[in-house]
Amino acid sequence: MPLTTPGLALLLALRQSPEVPQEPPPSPPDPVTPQERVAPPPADSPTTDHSPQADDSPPAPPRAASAAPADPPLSPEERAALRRAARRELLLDPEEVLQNQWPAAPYCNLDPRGKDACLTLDSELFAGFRRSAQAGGRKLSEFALDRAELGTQLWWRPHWRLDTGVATRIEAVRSAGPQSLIGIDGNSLVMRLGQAYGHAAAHVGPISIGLRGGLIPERWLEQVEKGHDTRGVEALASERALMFDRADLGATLTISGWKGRVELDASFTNGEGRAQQELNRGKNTTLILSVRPLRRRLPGGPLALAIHGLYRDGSYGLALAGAAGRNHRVAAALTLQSPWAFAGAEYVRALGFNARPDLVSDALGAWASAYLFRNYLGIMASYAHIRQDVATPGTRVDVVTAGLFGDVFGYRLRNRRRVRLHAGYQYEGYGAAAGPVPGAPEAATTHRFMLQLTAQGLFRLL
Amino acid sequence: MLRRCSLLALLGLLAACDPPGDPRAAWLQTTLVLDNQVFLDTDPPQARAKFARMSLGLYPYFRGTLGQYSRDLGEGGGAGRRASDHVTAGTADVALIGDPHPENIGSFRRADGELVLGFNDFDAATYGPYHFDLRRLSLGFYIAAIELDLAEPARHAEAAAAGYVAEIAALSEGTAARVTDEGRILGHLLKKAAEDGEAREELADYTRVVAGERRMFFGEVEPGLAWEMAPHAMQLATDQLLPASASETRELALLLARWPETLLDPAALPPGAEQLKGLGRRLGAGVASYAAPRYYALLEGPTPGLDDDLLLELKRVYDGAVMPGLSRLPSRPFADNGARVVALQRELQPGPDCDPLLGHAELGAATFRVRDRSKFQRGLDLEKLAEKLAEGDWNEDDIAVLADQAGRLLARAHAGARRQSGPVALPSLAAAIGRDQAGLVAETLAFVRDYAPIVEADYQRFLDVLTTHGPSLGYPH
Repeated sequence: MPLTTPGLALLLALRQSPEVPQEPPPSPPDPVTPQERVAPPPADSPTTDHSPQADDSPPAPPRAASAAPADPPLSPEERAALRRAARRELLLDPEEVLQNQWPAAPYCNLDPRGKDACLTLDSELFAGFRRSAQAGGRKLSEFALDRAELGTQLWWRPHWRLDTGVATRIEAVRSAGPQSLIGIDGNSLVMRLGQAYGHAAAHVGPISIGLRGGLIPERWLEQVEKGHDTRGVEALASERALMFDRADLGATLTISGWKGRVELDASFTNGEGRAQQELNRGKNTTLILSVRPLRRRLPGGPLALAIHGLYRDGSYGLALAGAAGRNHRVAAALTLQSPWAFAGAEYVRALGFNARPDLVSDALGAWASAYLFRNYLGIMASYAHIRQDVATPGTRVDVVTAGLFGDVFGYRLRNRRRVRLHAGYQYEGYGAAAGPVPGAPEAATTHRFMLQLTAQGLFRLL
Repeated sequence: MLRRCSLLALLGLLAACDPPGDPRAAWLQTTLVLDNQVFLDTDPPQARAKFARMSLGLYPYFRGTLGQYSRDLGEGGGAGRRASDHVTAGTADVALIGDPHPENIGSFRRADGELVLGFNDFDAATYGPYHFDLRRLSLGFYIAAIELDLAEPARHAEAAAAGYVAEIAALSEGTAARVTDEGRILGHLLKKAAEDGEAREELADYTRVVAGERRMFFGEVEPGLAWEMAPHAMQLATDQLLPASASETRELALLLARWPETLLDPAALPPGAEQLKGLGRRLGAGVASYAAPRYYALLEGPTPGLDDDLLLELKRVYDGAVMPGLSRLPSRPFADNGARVVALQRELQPGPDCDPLLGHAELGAATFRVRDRSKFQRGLDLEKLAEKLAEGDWNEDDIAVLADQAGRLLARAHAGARRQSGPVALPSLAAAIGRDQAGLVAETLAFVRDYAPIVEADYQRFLDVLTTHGPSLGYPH
């Protein structure tokens, strides 16, 4: 089966090639690679372009290379088989895309002329074994499941300027909270709806305008994690500090220009997150600006430098005298992704947190990961510095994580399948006035050795 | 340059903008709703009644706000976040009562018939730093003293802390004297428990003999209260039994069939006790657990006679004291809340057999603690203390003695129980307190002096929210 870009190129080449005679060729044709059939895109092209075109007419299929007419003709069965195979391909070019490109392009290689659909299935799992030790002789070894998710995306292109779809994602959670004993059949892992939303994206020239509605993903995490390749072992500092929930009920309007070089997200959500219903009349209004001043297509994968900024006017909790407690956020992040290394830094300031409107808290995170032996063995490190209460000295929490990782399938296939094993160490330290036991930081300081598995897969079903 | 200045100005403006209104009141309202959402969703009338019950005084409000106390002590920005110089890593996983306060002290009759004193509410029991309990107990005496209109609230808070550290020192040195009936208040409690227990007063209160059979009594054992906070009003049960529904009866029969397996000594259950003679839902008990389903079950006693029947209490238990951010290894040391409450009660009381009928049973996700409703188990009651003080039977010195004894009871409970990591806590506690006993007492008292006014102000905020939003506190569903 052909891989992503070659298969897609082959399909497009077949679409514009003349009909062939019904009889099979007298001898099998020589193998011809898709690259030989189709002219490669320009080196600075941001992506293999399968999204609708900029002008007012439906896109014309790309021209085949001059060698194509000389190819031996294919039988209808072969053409049909190749077409079916190509249609299974995903628009996840290993040289271009790390995460989804919504709203600039769908996951799938939809017919650029419209009237096409696809269905994908993806799964993600973070699991591991860890040995934790705290002062006072407290130690524990345990296996843990940090994430188990199954997602599906249905895409439909009713018109060449419009992509629509529905996404649902279920995730495993412990049925009892972190310090709770009230669960289902003890504290079973149960599946719940993690995301469920409809989406549409209109393409006008170099601009794509997207709309999502429902239980939508947090765009800040979605955007910043495009430059964070070791989520399986450590979350972003802002997510670890619970300053952002991964999804919320509401809607997002996204304007993306020039294939994601500039993106503006405006979100309107309840603000209570996945696990709580709306408690007040106020809505969280969030603006995120992402700029990617450097974006190159390289043989091993894309190179992208991204700058993100966020402001959220948020509310949380019951409305007292008509106004719910403030829950604002201000954030900035800088991320770099490349075939050799990922790196980034994030700062989030929470103005109102933990249902305390007057509390100001912040989180600073930095991370880096790089291959030592491409593309199978790498090293990673991350640091998170959280101040639980900015106004009180000594309320810091520092988390340092470092380790090695190994990939089974290599970096180029990361979008379609990844099996990665991490082995690392994590230190969690508390300031003198921080933590659950102010005055006794050693009571919460934790040393942790981890073996962590990341397994991800993405398939096109239709 | 201009852009940079603009950006900095914007960030400065955002950082400087203050939340509107009273942020503490907003936090209080939201967290009270979150802590009671299970009741607001499943039994709204009882949830509203709980908030109404909490509004009846500063002390009931204090009893109903353990969750706020926990957040204030442990969370960033918490109002009670005062560092301790006397907690160590070895005393951060001590078995805790969770909610020790004067009204949670009571009497028990052990399997050999001996009456003893101890804490009697383990709904919030968990593992954590010992000062969480010590501060709660001292704060409770301070709040109680205010409620009783005593002259020196701080004196009683200090006495509780002093009793604690003195008892830890005495236990460590092997010189501790046993806390039994010293003092007039606890002495009276034991005397009344012995009398009422022998008289089987619980049967007189909650059952009746009708046509030669003992049956549950349904109705008001004590008259209810007319609660009003204009424009909101309701009738508030104080001690009332309602007939159990058919589905409740089926479920409780299942619970009672499973509960004997969890008894410390199954032989404590007399033959014939499997015969269920009556069931009723009890309303009006407690404050924090006011809205929790609570049932009384009448079982056949050792003989077919009418005077030796057993009266049990089955109470649904929920999660204990949540200590935000506290990492426990493992995080879930008990299978469910019934197991937690019973195991820690046996661990923390003067003996594991303080209630031979103590056990638990589960029905799906619902777990119930089962206990003997015998009047040998009698608790301190602030209203009765007020009566005795008003009558001149007791005075403020007696309250101070009580506080000292309560501190000693807490010390004994902590010291004799095993920490989550295994060893008995006494050596770690003694090492943490060391020779600076006065330092811990002063530290605890300083916390109480700082935090008690916040609790008082919070109570007023709570009354304001009740007046504005009613007893649902504005919960929209």
